[in-house]
Amino acid sequence: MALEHDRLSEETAEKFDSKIAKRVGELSRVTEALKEWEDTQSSIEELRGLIHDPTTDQELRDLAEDDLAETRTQLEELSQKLAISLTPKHPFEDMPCLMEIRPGAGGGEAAIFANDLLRMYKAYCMRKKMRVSVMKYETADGMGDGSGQAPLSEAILEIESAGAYGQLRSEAGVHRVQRVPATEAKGRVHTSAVSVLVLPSLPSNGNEGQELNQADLTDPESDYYVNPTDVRTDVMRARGAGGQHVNTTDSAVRLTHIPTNTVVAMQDSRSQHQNREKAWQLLRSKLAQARREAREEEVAKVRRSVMGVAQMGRENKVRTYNWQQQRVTDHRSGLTIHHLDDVMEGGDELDTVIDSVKTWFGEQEMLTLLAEEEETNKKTK
Amino acid sequence: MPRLPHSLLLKAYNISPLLPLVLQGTRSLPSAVNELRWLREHVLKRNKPTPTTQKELLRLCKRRSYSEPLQYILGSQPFGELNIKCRPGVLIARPEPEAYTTYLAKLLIKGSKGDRGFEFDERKPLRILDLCSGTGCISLLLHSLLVKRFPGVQINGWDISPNAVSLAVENLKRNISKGHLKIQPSQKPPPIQFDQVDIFSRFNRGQKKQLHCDIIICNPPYISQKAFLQDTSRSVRKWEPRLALVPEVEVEGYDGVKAEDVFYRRLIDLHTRFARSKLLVMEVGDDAQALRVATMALQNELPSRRDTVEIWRDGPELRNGLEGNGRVVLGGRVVGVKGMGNMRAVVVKSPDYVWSKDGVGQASR
Repeated sequence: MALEHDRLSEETAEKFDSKIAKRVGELSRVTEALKEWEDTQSSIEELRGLIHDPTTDQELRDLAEDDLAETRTQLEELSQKLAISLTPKHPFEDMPCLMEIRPGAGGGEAAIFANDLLRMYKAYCMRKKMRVSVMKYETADGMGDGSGQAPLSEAILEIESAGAYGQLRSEAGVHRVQRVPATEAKGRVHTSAVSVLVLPSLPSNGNEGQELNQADLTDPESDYYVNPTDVRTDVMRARGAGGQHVNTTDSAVRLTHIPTNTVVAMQDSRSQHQNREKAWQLLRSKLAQARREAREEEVAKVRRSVMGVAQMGRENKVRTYNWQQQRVTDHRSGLTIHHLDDVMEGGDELDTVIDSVKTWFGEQEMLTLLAEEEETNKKTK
Repeated sequence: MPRLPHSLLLKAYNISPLLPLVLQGTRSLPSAVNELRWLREHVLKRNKPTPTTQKELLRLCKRRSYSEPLQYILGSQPFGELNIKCRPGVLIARPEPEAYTTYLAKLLIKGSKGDRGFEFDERKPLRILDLCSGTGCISLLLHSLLVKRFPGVQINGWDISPNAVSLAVENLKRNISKGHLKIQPSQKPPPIQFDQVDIFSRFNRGQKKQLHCDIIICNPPYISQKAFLQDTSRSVRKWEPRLALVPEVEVEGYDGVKAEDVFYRRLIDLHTRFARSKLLVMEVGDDAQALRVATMALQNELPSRRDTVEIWRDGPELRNGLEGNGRVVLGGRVVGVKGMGNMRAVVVKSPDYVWSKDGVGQASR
């Protein structure tokens, strides 16, 4: 593999081909990990040689032994890294993403927590220097939280930086909160839930030099292709006479993808034009995600049969935020952190949590691959 | 106007104490929620709320409660990709012209590529005359949509109101500086020009030259005296200029033409007799008026050529099974009806023709 990488790098140096370049990019992850691993391996050999060499004096030998222990642990970490890098990369990994936040069970408190999460992710993205904007912010009827805003019913964040999907896809799932809500008069602890959905997104103008081979809009083979004749557009039209008789500001646009009955609606901007563009972007992302999920269904079946239901799905709760104990627990990686405030501000602790989930993803991915390997081995026997 | 029910006002109050004020203006809760959000965004401009901004917001909400249009309060209205400045005295840009202007541009681009559409040669300067141009929104949108395919596009906007003409010029500058329009200030002749012209007057030489164009597009006043009192919303009636809504001109010789249709008669005259235009696009108020205007166009066509008349609905591109494309038969002639919604525009397509020396048109094909 290292050889293939070298060969391809040479080739790209001569003539630029986006496909080869892409492959080089994919391979370089592995070769880098492999190189580090090889380096460490050889340094261990060297140290061993030193220790076993009778001419080495005692002081140096002690040092070498210390070093050896350290390098061993390093080697273990690196093997892990190498293994993860060998598992196939998620196809949407490099894309920007959309993040949909919706309150689930828990009424007004869930809506408030959804707002908290929205703020958390916004702060996180800003700290990570990712371009983030609120694409949709929809409120429901009912009592507001005092700031004169109706409770949140759905929010969509648009994160335009490349690789945002890979960074944030671990956040998809149900987030549970346990606390005494601001709306609670008797001081009882409530448990509410908010669901987060992460979709790969496609910038409407792919001119930022981003490599979006599979995201070609006009290619019917692409996940992102949506046949315009399959989509019904509804715009809010003035009741009655319309035209010069009224001057309403309704700018809402609703798109319905008829074959899958997927509906998206957008009314945030005063410009109908802009609402339409955003709605199309959202619709494409949703359909792309659904298509990929459908394709993965087969694979997922095998996985489930091997590993039980431990696989993460959208339905399962992924994380708990507990105010009383000031802790955040991720149910996938099993990590518990007691800096709730820092997490809610999108600080470093949130990074720790996300990284732990990513590592867990990698491990799971590997386990599945191994399981699949065994499965096929069994079949061939 | 029916009074708003207390239950609705209470519901609005529970969402935000400011919402009932906005609701007085919008008369519907979902639009009120949206408008309050836009007002808040306008006041805050990404800053944190302070007592001053809250006061300002309250002031704007009060203005809205007197049914002042949001577009006048915020001073602008998005129109396609453009941003159109709005102020009292000039009719606010509406979504219907946005829809049919966009559709027209699409057909022009398609036609120039040999597809089904309106066929004009993209290598020749395409000359468009926008009558009753108001804020200038139609002219500007046409330019922004067409300039790529028709680099020589030339648009003249005429309006009787000096107020509207100066606003249109401001809008031209505003959209150039925002980068929405690709126009160099040094470009000669200027690709978009606005002038104060009364289309019922006698034209001078310069105006006659401008009149000789390929396409005439117009959103004239078309509301009858009665409909103005009965069918317009309070916000339109109280705040928008009557001049742009209700035609109040007396023209000799226009016998049997309803008062609200006077402009159409003049437009058809301009199209068939004075300009050598091949396309005439006119906004209309409702289905009955659309049929009257279509009939009028067919009756007034030159004996030597055969026009095609079409009616576009609010959403000319929208399709929905039963309410899709249709046709009506007027005086034995078939008139196509496109899209969904109310009938919104009458389109007259005339074949190219050569002018003989005595000024009578002869069909070339």
